[in-house]
Amino acid sequence: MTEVTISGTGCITCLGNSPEDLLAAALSGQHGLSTDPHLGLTLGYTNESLIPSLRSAINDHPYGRTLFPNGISEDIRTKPLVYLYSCLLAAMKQAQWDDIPKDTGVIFATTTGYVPYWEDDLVAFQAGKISEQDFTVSFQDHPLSRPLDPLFQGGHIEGPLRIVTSACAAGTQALALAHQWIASGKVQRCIVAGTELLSTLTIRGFNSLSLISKNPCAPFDQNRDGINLSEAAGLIILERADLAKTKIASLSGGGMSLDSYDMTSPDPSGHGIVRAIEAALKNSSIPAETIDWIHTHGTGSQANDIAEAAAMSHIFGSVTPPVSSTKGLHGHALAVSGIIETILCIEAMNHKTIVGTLNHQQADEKIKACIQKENLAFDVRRILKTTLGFGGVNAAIVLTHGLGTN
Amino acid sequence: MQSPQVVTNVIETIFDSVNLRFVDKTTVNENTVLGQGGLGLDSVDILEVVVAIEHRFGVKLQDKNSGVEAFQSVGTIAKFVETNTSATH
Repeated sequence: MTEVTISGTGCITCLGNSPEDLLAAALSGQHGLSTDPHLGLTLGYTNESLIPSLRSAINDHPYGRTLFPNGISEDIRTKPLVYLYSCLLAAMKQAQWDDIPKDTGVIFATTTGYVPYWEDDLVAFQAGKISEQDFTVSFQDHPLSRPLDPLFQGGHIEGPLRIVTSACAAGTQALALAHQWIASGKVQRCIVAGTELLSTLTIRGFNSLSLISKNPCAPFDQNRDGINLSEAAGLIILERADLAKTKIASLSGGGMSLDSYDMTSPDPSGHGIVRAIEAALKNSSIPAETIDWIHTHGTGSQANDIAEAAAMSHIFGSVTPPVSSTKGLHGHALAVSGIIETILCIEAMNHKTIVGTLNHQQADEKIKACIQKENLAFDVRRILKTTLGFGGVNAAIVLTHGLGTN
Repeated sequence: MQSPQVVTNVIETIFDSVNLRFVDKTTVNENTVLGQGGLGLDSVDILEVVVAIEHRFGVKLQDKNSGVEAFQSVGTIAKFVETNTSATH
């Protein structure tokens, strides 16, 4: 079985703008969420005041100049580019890449894409203020793949590209797919990335389902009352182990499944999630009893937490490994949640720590899994990471410890 | 045993449809499977291959079961193409 090494990571989140900052903030127990006074909802926004310095760093970087010969402009619509390429350059530095090998594959996870930049035109069109043609131009000018144009249209990468839009499961599915691509020999290296920006459409959409909490979320808690949407970007470099110059962890395998139950609610029995986890464990050749920590999707919604905890009890029995969710720290970054949470897991594993579940006080009586409330010093070797998405999409991956250089 | 020309054309069509430019084409033959252990194509890739094969050879999959059978390996695709093109001639 081909070993898949994770050699570089980068992230921009409401909690921290590097993997180190993300873990430091998580361990200090400070969250990155804020309550919008107009909406009365708690959300996680990135710090936009950093964009000028992030943009300058890309424009001044040797590989940044290769990708953007004219520099990234100051137009606010370049925000996804600034976030994505900040993550890329950070991950390349960690992986000891001076440039990107041309045969690298790219899997990009997003659900909202550039919605913030065309939704005003949608409203204007619906109000009869602009023509259908003008709205169509605005919409078509923002395809989901647009942030990748500097890589592909610039001819810097010629490997396969896949856009994964399977709702909130997309990031973890992208990682499972990258493992499959490398293990099967389709590619030798793969970049998994995603960006997710908060937009009016997203916030109102989730709020219409009464899913967003006024408070920081409390995963698996008896008094949980909803999720906190957040924006983020994240990027992970994966390589065939013998080709990687450095190693921060291994991705041992992944699994995916579909509930076929409901458009938005997960199957409360957790059976769909069980199938994804079983596939990931089998694909990894890792027995369930050797898992040290389960990092869940744990959104803090009523339905998610019941289904996910049921799946853990089904697989691990009455005494599960520590089960935690870090959504109370960084919110729910939709498609990118699986990527930034994987990055947090790797950082925590390399600092011999399990990150607990902020805001969790007393478990829901229907939840039997062992919820880890506090941070815990532990020499973590194997992590199961799960993610669920609308449409009943489930994804699970297994991360294993391993630091070093080749 | 399928015609070498059909096998070659099937391999060309697969490589063009899923951007396999970094896989060594000389190692691929009619026994090469599409998924794990062969070309490593995922399910979305195989859909792309189905569309490309149908377009290139003017054939059409009739149902899911025959599709799963036909799109296992280069050889099974070549057989599917030969069977369905000769039937129309």
